[in-house]
Amino acid sequence: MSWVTVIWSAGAGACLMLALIYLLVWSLNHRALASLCFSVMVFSVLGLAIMEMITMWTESPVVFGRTIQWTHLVYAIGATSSMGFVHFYFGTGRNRLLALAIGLRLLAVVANFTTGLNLHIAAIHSLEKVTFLGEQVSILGEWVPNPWMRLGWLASLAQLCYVVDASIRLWRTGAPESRKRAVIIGSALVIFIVLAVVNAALVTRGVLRMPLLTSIPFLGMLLVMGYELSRDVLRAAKLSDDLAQQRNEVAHLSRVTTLGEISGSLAHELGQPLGAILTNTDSIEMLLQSPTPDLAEVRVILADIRRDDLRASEIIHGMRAFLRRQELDLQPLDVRGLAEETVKLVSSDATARKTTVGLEIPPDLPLVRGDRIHLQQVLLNLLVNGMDAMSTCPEADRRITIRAVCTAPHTVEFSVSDAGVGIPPGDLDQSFTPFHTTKQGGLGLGLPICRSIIEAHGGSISLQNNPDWGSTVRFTLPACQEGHP
Amino acid sequence: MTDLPATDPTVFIVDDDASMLRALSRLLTLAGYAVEAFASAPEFLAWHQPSDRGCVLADLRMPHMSGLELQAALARSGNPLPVIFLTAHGDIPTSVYAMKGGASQGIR
Repeated sequence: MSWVTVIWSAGAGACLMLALIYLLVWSLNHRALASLCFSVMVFSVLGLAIMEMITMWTESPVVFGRTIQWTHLVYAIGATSSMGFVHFYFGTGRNRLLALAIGLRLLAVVANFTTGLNLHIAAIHSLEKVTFLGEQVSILGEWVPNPWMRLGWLASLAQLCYVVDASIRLWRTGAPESRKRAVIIGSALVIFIVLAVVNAALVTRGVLRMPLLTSIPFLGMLLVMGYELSRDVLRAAKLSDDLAQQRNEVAHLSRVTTLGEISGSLAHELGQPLGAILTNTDSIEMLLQSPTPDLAEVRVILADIRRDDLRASEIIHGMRAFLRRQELDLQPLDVRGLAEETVKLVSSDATARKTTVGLEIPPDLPLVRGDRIHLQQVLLNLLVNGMDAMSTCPEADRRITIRAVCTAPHTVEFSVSDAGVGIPPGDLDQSFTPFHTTKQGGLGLGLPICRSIIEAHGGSISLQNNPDWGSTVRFTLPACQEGHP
Repeated sequence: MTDLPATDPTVFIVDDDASMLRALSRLLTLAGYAVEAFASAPEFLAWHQPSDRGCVLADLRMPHMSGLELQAALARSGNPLPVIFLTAHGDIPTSVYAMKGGASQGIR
């Protein structure tokens, strides 16, 4: 196998791969027109590489000439899409210059098919064989130039002007990222156009005795542009990281707010064991005043003190964990345990607001994959919302039910239903819109944060009014496969 | 608890928190009081007799029936025992409300 075969085949393979990748990028996001242009450009380089192989190996002057004729068409597609790429990717090109360059290239293609054998050649009398990269390849022997070839040069000149002008204008916008883009892509395009034109000029004038090479410098340029485009993908990944970070920050702030809302109930929750401890120490003091203290009773009281102290520190521990800033940490979670812990956080508040919280969670539910704190936050938000919605209802009706069912294999659906006033139909659509609130003094962030947390878990969340009264929020979470019996 | 109506002056403790109830009963018993403990206001009201003497020591915040509601129910019962409220969060509106209902002392 010769170097020509190796280099051109490898180049063609790389082109095919690159073109398909960026076609995929465009098919996933139809607004990524720069990717579409890039893909078309790479396909045309693939075409150029194949046609160059045909011209190098053919013995027939007619096949040689006709292949170059089609090469001009493919080249025109590549040149046009490269300008399209600059148009969409830079956004600074002059449209008139673009129209001029494309118009001239189109005229060159018309001349290519209507005059002579192709744009450069009027007629070929013979081919010659030369050794190129260790292989015998065909090049032009005796031939007659086509005067229309100047139209091709003019089109290349217009293309060059358009790219240089767009690059300079992008540079002038001043942003460091834009300047880098302008220099890298602008110079890659300019170098390629110059190389292609100079190579064609030298070969057709017989100065260089080698085949016409367009695809190889084109390939170099593609790699540079591909590198620049892939940096966009990295930028997008970083942006999505930043967004996740911000979501965590907002979720944290919202936890602080929610805990502030139920701080009264937490104080009560903490006050009980602390009060019991104080009372018990008084009792011990009283016991020890006796000349024959009942030490067995003192031991019993000390055990009570210890238990209450542990209870208090458990509450503080839970609160601190809830308030900690943290990234999403997905672990297998027991659904009932999760719900019970959350209900405990809110229980004292629920008591004060005469609300009963019921759990309907079957025992054989699989574990779910989620972040304990973030999911507690979701449930807590929904519970507080539910209590707010029922504050004007008769006390006997104030009931919130948390249900969980396995709806599909590997999906657990939670629902939190209240018997409150429900959501006005006009507000249902906007419930998950940030800063949209129906509560006095509400920030309008509760449900949007719930949604961002659930979506970060790979689930979905929705809100509906119940057929009778009140409303239900449903959300899904992925179940752990190994947790299923 | 006993099935006999209390005749001696008794402290009736009403608190939903089991360990608080236990600690209070213990302390007051040690201090020499006759004590009856109840986990909820309805439980106490069901047990309550017109002949009861003493006072009620009640938590303000309890499920089903709060301390203030207990006070109101007692006032209606014809045997309005004095009520002492225990609270970790004795805010002013609650105190005023309790005082108006006849509370004489709030213990924090």
